[in-house]
Amino acid sequence: MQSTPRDYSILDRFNFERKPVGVKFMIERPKDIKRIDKELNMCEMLKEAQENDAFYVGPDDWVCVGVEQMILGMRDAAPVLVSGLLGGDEDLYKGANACRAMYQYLPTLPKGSVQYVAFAPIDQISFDPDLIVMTADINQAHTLVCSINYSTGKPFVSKATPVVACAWIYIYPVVSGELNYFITGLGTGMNQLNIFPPGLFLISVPFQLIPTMMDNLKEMEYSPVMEPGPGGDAHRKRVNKVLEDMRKRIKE
Amino acid sequence: MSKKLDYSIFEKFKFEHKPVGVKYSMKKPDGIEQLDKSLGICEMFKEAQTSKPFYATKENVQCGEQVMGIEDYPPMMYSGQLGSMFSMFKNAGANRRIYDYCPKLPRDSVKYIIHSPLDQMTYDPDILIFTASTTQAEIILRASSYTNGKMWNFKGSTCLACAWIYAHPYLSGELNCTVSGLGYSMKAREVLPEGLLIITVPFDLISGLIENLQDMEWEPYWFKLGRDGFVEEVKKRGDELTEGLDEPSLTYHTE
Repeated sequence: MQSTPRDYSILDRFNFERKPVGVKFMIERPKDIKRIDKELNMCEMLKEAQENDAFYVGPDDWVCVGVEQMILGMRDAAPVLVSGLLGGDEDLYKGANACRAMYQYLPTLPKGSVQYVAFAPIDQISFDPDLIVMTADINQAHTLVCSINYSTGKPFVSKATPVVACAWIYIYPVVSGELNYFITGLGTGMNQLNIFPPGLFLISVPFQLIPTMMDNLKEMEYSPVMEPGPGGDAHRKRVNKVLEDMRKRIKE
Repeated sequence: MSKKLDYSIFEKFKFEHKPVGVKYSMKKPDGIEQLDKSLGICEMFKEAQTSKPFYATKENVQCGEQVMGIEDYPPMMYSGQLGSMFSMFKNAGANRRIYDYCPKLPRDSVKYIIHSPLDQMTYDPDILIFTASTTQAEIILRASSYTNGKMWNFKGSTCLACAWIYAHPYLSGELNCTVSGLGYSMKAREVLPEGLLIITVPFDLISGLIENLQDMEWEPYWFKLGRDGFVEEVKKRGDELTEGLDEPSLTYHTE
């Protein structure tokens, strides 16, 4: 793993209540990081890394129903899961068919490509992460979800399913190369585990976009407090004035 | 218009045909003169390779003004009637379909199309057009996916090469590549010698491309081993990598 990580200090300006966390998927056991010493679901590991030191998770440390190993490409999920039976019987979906259809959308890493997953709070990170997950309030998220769009013009999109939130938080961004965000309170399993209060944004930025985000955040304005707007009349007046000036400039 | 990026890494390629930066503007550029002739859009980057920076307006665009959003397609064109006359398409129906997917800039969103060879460029361009040999293109394309693993995805059509060189990368944010000699009008106009790779990089990919070119090895030793040496080295290095991992070593089929 890279020993001289990127400079993430630009994120300090957000004064996050919960630290951003870097995640890396590996086939080799990471050195100089301790192994996780408790039983946690993958979605809980984000919180664990926010509040503690860096750790890694090995092949025998997964405790959820087996879906985590499936999305990590470690093993196939049990028939009782992929048939949709669990989701259907538990009333998470109308029936097993709807739940089974959900599996067609779940992003997964290539089979056999991962044995270890490392988590580190950003202020202790010693590796180049495959993704960074930031836990943000609406004001912070307003800037962060635009941090790619700012230079590309591409829309920001959130993809998710009500279950297997971990697939959308950790896997989808890396597989697609796209920023994704998940709002706490929307994940059924995460709600059961009481991980975060509802309404927070879990914003995942994959390695493909981290340099873009860092560059853009250096230029973008951010106010720690969401100031009220000037109101409709004042806003329209200001924009009309700007447009008028622009039209004059173009005619010159 | 100002220039923030350092483009000097591209000098290392020693391109025979200079890279050209294109910028779309509603405002007349300061310090740049108007093109003194009328050209097809697909000829303009060729012109800029050997000229001073210039801007083109509607009067200078002899062909491709619809792709630039300066005019709408005339019915004769849009209906597909021209395709069979040019032997481009079997019938009007086949020709008509291209207008559903060929990208074009929004109507009236551009007044000044500014071109500059890279070595005289005073602005950060909206698109950077390279005319490259295969060896140079291999390096540029490898650099384009060096950090993100993205698939190369080149788009084109029989005609309207300008749409794929000038509009598609700008609108989609994707790098595009075509080969000189494939664009119908470009071939007819003898814009470039055949077989050169024309690569367009949109503004939001340029800084990443520069960073990757600075970081990566341009001519890896793997390219210098010869066929048998390459096969042997892949196996040797593969064995080293898989040692200690719970998987079989790389096997490489040899005759």
